[in-house]
Amino acid sequence: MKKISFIDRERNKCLLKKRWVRELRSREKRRAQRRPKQPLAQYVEYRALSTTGRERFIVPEKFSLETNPDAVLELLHSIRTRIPNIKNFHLDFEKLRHIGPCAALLLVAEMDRLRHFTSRKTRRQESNRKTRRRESSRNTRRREYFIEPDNFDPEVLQQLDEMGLFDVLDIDNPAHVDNGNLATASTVSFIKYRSKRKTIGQMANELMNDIESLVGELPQREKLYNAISEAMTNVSHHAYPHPVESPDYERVPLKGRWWLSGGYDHAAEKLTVMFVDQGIGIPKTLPTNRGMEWLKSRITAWGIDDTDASRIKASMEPGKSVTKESHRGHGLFRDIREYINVVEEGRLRVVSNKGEYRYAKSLGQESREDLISLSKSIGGTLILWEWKVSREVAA
Amino acid sequence: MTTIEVATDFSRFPAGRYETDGPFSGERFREKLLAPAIKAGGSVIVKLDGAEGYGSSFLEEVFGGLIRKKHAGFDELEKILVLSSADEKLIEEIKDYIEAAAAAAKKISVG
Repeated sequence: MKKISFIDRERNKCLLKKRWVRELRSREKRRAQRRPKQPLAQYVEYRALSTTGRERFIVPEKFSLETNPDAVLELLHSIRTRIPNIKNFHLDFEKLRHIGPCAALLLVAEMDRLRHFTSRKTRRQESNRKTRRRESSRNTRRREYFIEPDNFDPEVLQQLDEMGLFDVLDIDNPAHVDNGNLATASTVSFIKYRSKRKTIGQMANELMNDIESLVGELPQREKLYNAISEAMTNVSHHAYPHPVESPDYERVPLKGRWWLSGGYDHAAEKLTVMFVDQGIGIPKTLPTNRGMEWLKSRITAWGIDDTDASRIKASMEPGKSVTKESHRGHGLFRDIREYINVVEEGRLRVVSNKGEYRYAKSLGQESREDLISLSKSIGGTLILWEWKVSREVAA
Repeated sequence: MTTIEVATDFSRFPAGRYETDGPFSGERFREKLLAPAIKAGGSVIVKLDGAEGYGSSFLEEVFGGLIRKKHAGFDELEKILVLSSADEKLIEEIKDYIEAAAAAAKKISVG
């Protein structure tokens, strides 16, 4: 048998990887073409051609899942559906003045996914036109996406840097953030995101260490660890059950992957931990895991409609699995919600596809549940734990 | 008598149910440490303190899995398995998983 040299082996590996990326890109394009076209008015705000001819995605002034959820979902949906069909695009952050930690993590996750599937290169759009044209001509064969960090609001720039967006986009040292010397004091500190495919308890531990460096010792730390590790395990088992080309996914996913981050609002003394996946969503997996009959019986008993939000509420209930594995499926209600029951004042939000489930609890008071239907799908699941940090705990 | 300290003999960060979930899963702990200790004979003390935490999937797979995978029966576990933790609720939770697995195993054998 002919011996293959090391260089040939490496070259073959590279070629195989390039073919795979090309294949995934064309699948995503075919999937996007199958979707019904959106009316122009729905995304005209986010779809404007920049002067360089690139399709522009404008991040709105308030980009927060709490205060402006429709705008967040609209932009993410536009990015997911439009980008497979275009060569170059421009993420315009110029209008952005306030970004929530959840929205920031969702954006980071989307950009991270794109980075894995494309050979796109991010470039800082230089102010010097000559430089821009020269670089353009050198990179005509590459697909490119642009951002302009020089036009960012300084606080937003710092927050996105803290979250890790510029690491995902491969941009070094954006303007105004120089070796940790802050140009402006941010009211909300973001914590660097973490992302993996497996259940890695150490990552939950590292996030909690980062949180404690901001606010001091965490109450009931082991319960938060349990909640995060169970969320990771749920992703492994339930979030990505089908092959990547399945139409159940909003877009071709990074199978098995999750993203984890946090934030601290100094003014409100409120801590937030967020966990995101881009799977098919709880509303789609629940009927398979627990059975449609059980689901219908629960929803009928509550006297509510069968929506994505009501299905998320059902997933919080203990219930038997339709398979013989009755010992499984308790993590959501037992561990994920449990942390909110042990802190002084806390809230759990589970957003999956087009539904949101909110659970709020204060010590000594009854818990409260709310169900909300969203205008667009989040394309996966977001779990958010939010709680007030008392002045004694905060450093 | 065998003593297993989870935090030092296995990991400070146990998480996940199956070996495919991650490097320090419940299945791995059961198959590599706990089941061999039970098979070796004598009592087995499992010290749970020192780890960051225990998700329900991890605990159920370790202890409920002992019954499901027939490493030991319920009566045998009651005699030889000793759980040590400063958190009494954790021990109660584990006992619940063992009892539920035993009940399910009995149901399958009767049915």
